[in-house]
Amino acid sequence: MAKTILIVDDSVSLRQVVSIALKGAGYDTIEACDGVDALSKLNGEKIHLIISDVNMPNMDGITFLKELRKNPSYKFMPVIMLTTESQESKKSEGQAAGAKAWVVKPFQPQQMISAVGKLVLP
Amino acid sequence: MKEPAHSFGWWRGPMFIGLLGGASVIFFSGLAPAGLTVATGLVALGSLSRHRPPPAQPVTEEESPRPSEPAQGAESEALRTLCLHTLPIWCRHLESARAHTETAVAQLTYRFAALVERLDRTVTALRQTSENPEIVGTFERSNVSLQALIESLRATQQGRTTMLQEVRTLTCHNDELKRMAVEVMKVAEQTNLLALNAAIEAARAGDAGRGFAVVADEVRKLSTMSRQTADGMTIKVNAVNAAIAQTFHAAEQAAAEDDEVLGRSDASVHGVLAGFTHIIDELRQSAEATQAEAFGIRREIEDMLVALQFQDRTSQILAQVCGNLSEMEAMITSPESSDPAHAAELDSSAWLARMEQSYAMLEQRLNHIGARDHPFDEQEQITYF
Repeated sequence: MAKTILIVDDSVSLRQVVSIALKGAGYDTIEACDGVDALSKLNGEKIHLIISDVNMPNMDGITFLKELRKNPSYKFMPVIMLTTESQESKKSEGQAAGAKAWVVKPFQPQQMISAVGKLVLP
Repeated sequence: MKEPAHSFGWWRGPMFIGLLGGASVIFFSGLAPAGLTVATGLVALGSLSRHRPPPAQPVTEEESPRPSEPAQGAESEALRTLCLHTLPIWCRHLESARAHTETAVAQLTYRFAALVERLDRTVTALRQTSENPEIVGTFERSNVSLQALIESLRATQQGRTTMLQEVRTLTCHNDELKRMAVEVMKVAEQTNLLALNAAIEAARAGDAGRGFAVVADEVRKLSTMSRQTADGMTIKVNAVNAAIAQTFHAAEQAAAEDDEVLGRSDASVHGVLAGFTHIIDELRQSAEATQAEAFGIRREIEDMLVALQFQDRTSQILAQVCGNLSEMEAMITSPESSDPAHAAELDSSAWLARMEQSYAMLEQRLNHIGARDHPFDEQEQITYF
């Protein structure tokens, strides 16, 4: 059975790009437009990995990650931050919040698939 | 009075806004019409105050008479009012350009995504058809059935050949019968000759040989009957031989025809099976070629989608410029800004530092320091923690 990846980004086109790349590699995808939307979509869905933007309206990626970790069910959920942010301070912030990888946009689909393959839950 | 280092005076503020805004918008939005419009306006606004040299050194009233305070105040107020009206307009233009780009790129990606999905569905359907176990199974079953039919026909033909061999053996037996009939005829003739000699000898013996003459006559009659029987046998054997020969000929002819039909059937079956095999191979090759082509097209679309990621960067850059313009507007509309003494205390270095802090991308930071020919790729795309 295909594994499901939750894609969180306020840019529709970015979500589409990630979704196409992952579907081509055999994953199922669910999309959310910000942290709040993502938290609501986590309920009742079997998710194997999350890819999240950092700068988003309503709830940014780092806050979303912190909220996610408060829930024991998602304590070990692998999260890849996909963002235009490349500052080391931001990366450290993401790492401290529990991100497993930091991908700087624009990304190459093969690199993203490789990162997902390494981190996705069994 | 000496002006503090890195400070705004309202005679310098618009120039800073113009240069900063114009350069930023041109750099970020390229030659897009909306970007150019905003950039031109920003630069024009900046140029309004360029005719006024900055008073870097303290001057005395005797060396360089300054404009009267009321005139300077009126000009500053006019520029402030201009900024107050134009900044929100430029902000809206920027937001409009950003929204247009985002909508267009989103539509493009939706369409590309739909194309990719259709492509995937077509490839899947093609693969299912070419690798359909039912088609292959039907072909295999047909092959086995037709081969069994050919074998059955061949076995029937073999049985007929065996029967013909038996008939040929029967002909040999008939020939033997014919020779036996000839032998019987010869015996009958010899017997007849013996009976004739016996009759002659009986006649010569006179009365004493009369009884013997009767016996000789009976023997002669028997020999005649034997000859007639032998004749009859020969005729019958000849008739049987003729019938067998005719049957054999007919059977041979039928066997030859069957052989030809069998050969033709065999060839037809092999031809049909070869045709099916060819069609299945062609279908498989065609499916493989189409799959390879579809894979190539998918890669091309993926590459295009990667290229479309620029929209996210552009959107962030424009949003950041828009944010700066809004902050500028807020600063102008603040009550303190109307006080020239307070405005002089505004620190441009602090403003620029705040701008730099607000950047998300390396590209923005490089633009900020004026490094124009920088690569757009970030140094390290993926960092694992």
